[in-house]
Amino acid sequence: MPSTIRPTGTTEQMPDNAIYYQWAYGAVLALLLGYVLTLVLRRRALDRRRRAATR
Amino acid sequence: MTSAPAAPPVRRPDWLLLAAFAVVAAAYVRAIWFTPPDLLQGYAQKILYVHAPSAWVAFLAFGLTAAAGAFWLFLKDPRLDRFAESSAEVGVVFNTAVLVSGPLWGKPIWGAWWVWDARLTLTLFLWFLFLGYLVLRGAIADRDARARYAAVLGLLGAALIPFIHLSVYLFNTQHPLPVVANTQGIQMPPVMAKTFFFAFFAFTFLYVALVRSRYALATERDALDDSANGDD
Repeated sequence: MPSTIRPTGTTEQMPDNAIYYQWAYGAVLALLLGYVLTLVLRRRALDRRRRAATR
Repeated sequence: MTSAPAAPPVRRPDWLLLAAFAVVAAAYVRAIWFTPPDLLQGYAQKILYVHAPSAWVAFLAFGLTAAAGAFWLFLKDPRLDRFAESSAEVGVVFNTAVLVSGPLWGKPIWGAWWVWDARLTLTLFLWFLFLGYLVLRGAIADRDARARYAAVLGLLGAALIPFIHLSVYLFNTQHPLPVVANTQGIQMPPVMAKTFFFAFFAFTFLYVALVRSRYALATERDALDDSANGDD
């Protein structure tokens, strides 16, 4: 069956499932920001290593 | 004898990364407030705007990891290996986004968080494979050996990508058919299609910015390792 997406309908006809997309959007954003945080922490660790080496 | 490394560089904000996050935020705003929900699927259909672009970026990242690895096997250029490492890591992040957002769509639409359908299972295998790729890299100290083994694993891992894309045609799967990458044309109204393509652009831009940032980190690490080993 083709997976055609239909245009919007009235709110009364639609299933009440907004919480799932809110969780999905939040989880993806948290994942991406979490990854950026690991980059920042690793960069700081490199700076510490460099400072220790120059002492 | 070891040589002293240079003083730490002055840290400036990563403007490209900040710009990429601003574009992703704009895609979120458009998807949440300016794109209507689907008549039958309801608001859960909006998960498509983060799920499909994440899948595209994961495939792009792993494809480029494999390409960089293949070129490394011939050219032995450390920049290619650093790019492969960076792209694979960012790819795993986006593949994780696919595996998180997919079940959140499956539960309200299929009534199940997960089914052992060909596309879902192969995508999970791809995630394990590139997680293994990163673990392998971390386990090998010798730079050349690490790059060689990683290049071969990256090539073998990326071979899964065409099967994942075609799995919905090759097998009787529960996963929906593509709404854009198919022979019938775009299967959604223009307002949704614009959001869909904007999200693809935003996530691709974010991939470029993340890989650039991760590549800079790998370059600094290698330079520090070289100075610690007295190779410079």
